[in-house]
Amino acid sequence: MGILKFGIIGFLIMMPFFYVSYCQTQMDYYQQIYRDSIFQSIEDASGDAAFAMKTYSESSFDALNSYQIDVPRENVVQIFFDSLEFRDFAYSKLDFPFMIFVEYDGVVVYHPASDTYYPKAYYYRNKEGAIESVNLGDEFLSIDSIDLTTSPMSQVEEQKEHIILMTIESCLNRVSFSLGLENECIFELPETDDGFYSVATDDLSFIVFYSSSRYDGLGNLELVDIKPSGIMKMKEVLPIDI
Amino acid sequence: MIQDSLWKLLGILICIVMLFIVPTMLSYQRQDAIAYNLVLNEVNSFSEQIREVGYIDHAMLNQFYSTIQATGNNYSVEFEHLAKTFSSDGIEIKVYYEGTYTDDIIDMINSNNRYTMKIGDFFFIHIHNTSLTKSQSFNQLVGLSSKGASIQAVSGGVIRYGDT
Repeated sequence: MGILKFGIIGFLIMMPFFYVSYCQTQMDYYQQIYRDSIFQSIEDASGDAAFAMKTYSESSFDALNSYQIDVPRENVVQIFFDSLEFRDFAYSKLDFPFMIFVEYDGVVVYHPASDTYYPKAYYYRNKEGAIESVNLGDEFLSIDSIDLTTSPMSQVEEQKEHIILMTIESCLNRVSFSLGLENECIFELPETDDGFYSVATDDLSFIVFYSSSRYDGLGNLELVDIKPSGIMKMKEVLPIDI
Repeated sequence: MIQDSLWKLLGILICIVMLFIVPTMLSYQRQDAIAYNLVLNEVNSFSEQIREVGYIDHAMLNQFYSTIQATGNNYSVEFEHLAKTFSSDGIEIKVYYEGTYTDDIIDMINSNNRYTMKIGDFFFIHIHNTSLTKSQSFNQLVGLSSKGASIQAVSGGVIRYGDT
């Protein structure tokens, strides 16, 4: 009898710990479902926006007979937010500190809170309009040093990706400084050689940065993802950290 | 003597709870999670299919219903088509969305075998369980809460192909 008593008392003592552990597991499970639905919603909405960007952009030739692509950015942003709204997704524009349009001749950073667009071209042109150099962050690479005709295709792709990523990074940092957000957002794109970013630099793309302040109760969201129409999770510093 | 019997009874109760009730509850919860994943995947792929082709027809609808019913639960499925429409006040053109919902969409499929949408419209599927899932039924049986939908999902987005 004594063993039975000890067993039951021991079990009753352990019971609260089992219960807390069970509750924690259940909470983690529902948090995970909630997180997944949040990210799925943003990813789908950014996919819709990227589709609009690719579909509604108009091409034409200007007076100098150079090819111009007009991306309807306001329309794309509107479709992104409409798509989120139709999914019953609660958001404010402050949850999306930055959005990036990766275009053919440059990138445009959009700051939804102030409704401002910050364009930055990949190339620098001289007074005559000819391309002089390409932007590589703080350094400039003379256009003469890039030989597109004899370089292997993979090397050209790599250079293109590098140019686009450096442009995104420098533009984001410049915008961050100009908005006084340098203590919260410093961007440093790590070097990769596995084509990780190539999906975002292959074509027109739309990238959304998402700050989860509204969902702080969900714990640290450590997802970092970049896609042609994708999301990037913001951390306090170094948001693009793989 | 009575005290000993009570200890034994308590021991037996704990054994029953730990050997039968808790494992059954956990296994039903697991089944719910599997059903949720299946429904979510099915809803996502169905909405993706509709957005890619720009229409819904009988065959697609029947296949979708039969797949989600394989989970053993009943679901309420709501379709929402938001057609992109323009209005002009003479100065600027405004975009708004005109909604068509489940009953009208099903009526159209029944009469024409197909409900067609235009490129740029939005289409969404909302789904939630109407019958109690196994886990909810079991919770009800043992006196725990079983209110609300245990499985619910929303999927959809812009129609990528269709009439212009």
